[in-house]
Amino acid sequence: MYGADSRRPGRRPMRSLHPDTVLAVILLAFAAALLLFWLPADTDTGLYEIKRGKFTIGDALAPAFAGAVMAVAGLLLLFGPRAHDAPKLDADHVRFLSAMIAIVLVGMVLMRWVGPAATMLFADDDYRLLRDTVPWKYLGFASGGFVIVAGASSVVEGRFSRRAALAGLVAILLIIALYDLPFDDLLLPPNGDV
Amino acid sequence: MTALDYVLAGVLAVIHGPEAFTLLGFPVSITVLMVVAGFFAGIVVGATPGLGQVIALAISLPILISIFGFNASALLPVMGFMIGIMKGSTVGGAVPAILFNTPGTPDSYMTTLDGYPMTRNGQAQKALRVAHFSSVSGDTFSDICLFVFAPSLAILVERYLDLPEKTALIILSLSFIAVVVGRSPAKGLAAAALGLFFVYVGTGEDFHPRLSLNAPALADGIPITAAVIGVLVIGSIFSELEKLWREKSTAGTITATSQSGDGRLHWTDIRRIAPYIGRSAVIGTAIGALPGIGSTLAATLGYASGSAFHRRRKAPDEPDFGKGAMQGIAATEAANSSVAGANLIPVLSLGIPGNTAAVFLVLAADSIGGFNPGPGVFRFTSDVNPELVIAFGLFTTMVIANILNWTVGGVFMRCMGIMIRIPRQFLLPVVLLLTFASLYVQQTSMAMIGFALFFGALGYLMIKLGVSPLPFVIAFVLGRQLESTARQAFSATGGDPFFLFSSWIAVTFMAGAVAIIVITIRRRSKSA
Repeated sequence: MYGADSRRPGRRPMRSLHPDTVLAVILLAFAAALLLFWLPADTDTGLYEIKRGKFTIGDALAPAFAGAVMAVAGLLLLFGPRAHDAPKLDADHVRFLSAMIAIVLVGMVLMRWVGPAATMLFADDDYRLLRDTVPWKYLGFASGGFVIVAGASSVVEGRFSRRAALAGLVAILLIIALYDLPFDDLLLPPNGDV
Repeated sequence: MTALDYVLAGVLAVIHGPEAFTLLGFPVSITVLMVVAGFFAGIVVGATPGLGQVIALAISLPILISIFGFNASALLPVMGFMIGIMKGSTVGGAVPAILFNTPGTPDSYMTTLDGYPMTRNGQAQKALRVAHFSSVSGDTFSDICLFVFAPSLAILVERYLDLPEKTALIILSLSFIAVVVGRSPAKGLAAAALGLFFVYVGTGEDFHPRLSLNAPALADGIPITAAVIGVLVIGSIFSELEKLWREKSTAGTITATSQSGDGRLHWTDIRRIAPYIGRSAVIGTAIGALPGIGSTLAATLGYASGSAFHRRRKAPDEPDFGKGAMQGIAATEAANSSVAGANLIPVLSLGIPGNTAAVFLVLAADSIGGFNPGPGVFRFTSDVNPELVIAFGLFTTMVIANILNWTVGGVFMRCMGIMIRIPRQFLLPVVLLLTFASLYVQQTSMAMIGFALFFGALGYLMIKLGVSPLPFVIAFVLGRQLESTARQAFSATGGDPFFLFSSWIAVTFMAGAVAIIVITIRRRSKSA
């Protein structure tokens, strides 16, 4: 992922950056942005303030301390010793993480909107009035939860299988049995938001 | 009340608390029932690869709070269940390591080195018995140290540490955890800095929520459970799933394992492993008492120490370490189990969580209220100090869990081999959804799932970059306490900007904070 070699004729191959160097630059850039721009713009009090004639610690001091520690960590990484086997991110890491995030985001969208959409199409009342009624209250959680479980299993296996679908169904039933059936005051997603 | 009165009150709060049911005419309290339930649940999750005590604690916390509510009477049942999980999962973690060469937890990795060869030699049952006996012995030793040292340490802290010293102590603990945990001190510091940064978003004393980018979702700060569970649990689940994905892609299949072997633990075996258990229990307890030093390091040091001892003492017909020596299992399991009790010493005496399981105990206390782990707990006042009664109640729950461990834990542990049969590529996504649902039911907001996903991705990236998530989590948990203590210390010293250097104790702590960073970096530089 970092600094792929250039193999075109007539050009010297680029030296691949050490993963710690990349991490150090990211940390230093973030610390600089935090300390120089974000913190002054997004806090109303400085490092300290004077209240009724007394000095008190302002809201900016603690995040500034965090930023300073981050900068020190970045400098230590930049100028510190380098391990030859330092872990680094590769394209597969990013691809896998992107797939997981996409699956969970799709699952979240389904959780939030399948119930209201279904009531709009097939019921006389608004979802808010039906969110404690079977089957409406389970529609969002069941569809979104199924996508998350079956989707993640399918990514790992490289294909969609009946066992992945079964895992999704079992997970939904298990969680409904765990949280919804025994406890009246616990709400499954998205019934606390709508 | 005298110290003995407090001990008795703690025991009675557990034994004679609200009654769950009657057994053979004897009332069984709800707290005892929860310890028992937590203990067996802990063995199950410990024996299931991909799960573990952190996930179990994360899932059980909202369920327990919804059952018992937010009042002081909920503390002992909730924390008793969590202590049961901690104890059970510690012994359960050895099961997949011995039977299937798959460590249920990182601490059990060294157990595989001798446990799996014993399984292949037809001695799986004996290996499990050695692991159980060693684990319970180490755990019991460390609990006794906790009961003796936590109150003494807390009294010393309360007597000698004022606000500037407490602020310096938190900074010392953070720097210690940051540089000692994991392979790279610089990465540990970066993780701690990130934890501090995120906990300060949207908080503060001013009307304007700092660093919130005017986003309503950030204005109230980042929920601590979403951040902690996201980084620790979701990040680990993504990481485990990715390993399976790569295994499937390269080998074409995800390997399954099978079980074999039988054997009993005799008195002669116990005499052979006892010296190894003793050495490792001392090593594990000493390491566990230091905040942030994980049981994995204890297991490694216990194994290394046992290996050196074994080379000098072994009989000619005994196998070497790494080739099926039961002493290897004993050394590892006693060391990693003896960390558990000792890890609660900094929590109960200083209010500083030393490991992830302790973080969840602090979260439970923080969510329920009525108990603030720290030096204030151990005030032996003549009027009743309810927090001290709860502390001794917690010690009682640990004793109950240990009794269970000695009596039925081994049998139940050996029955758990079956859990390994659930394919992890299906089990882990189910745990993922269960974790999201558990977070949602706590605050009934989809934002919780969003935060958990964000921090899960961050945790995954940290794991892949070799950054330990533990300094992040500890910094996130201690960040607000650090700021509020510093504010109070600053005010109490009349606005002295050098309040962190106002006494020799504070100066020592601050010097220690810098020294531990410098020394660790120099040592790692030499070994690199």
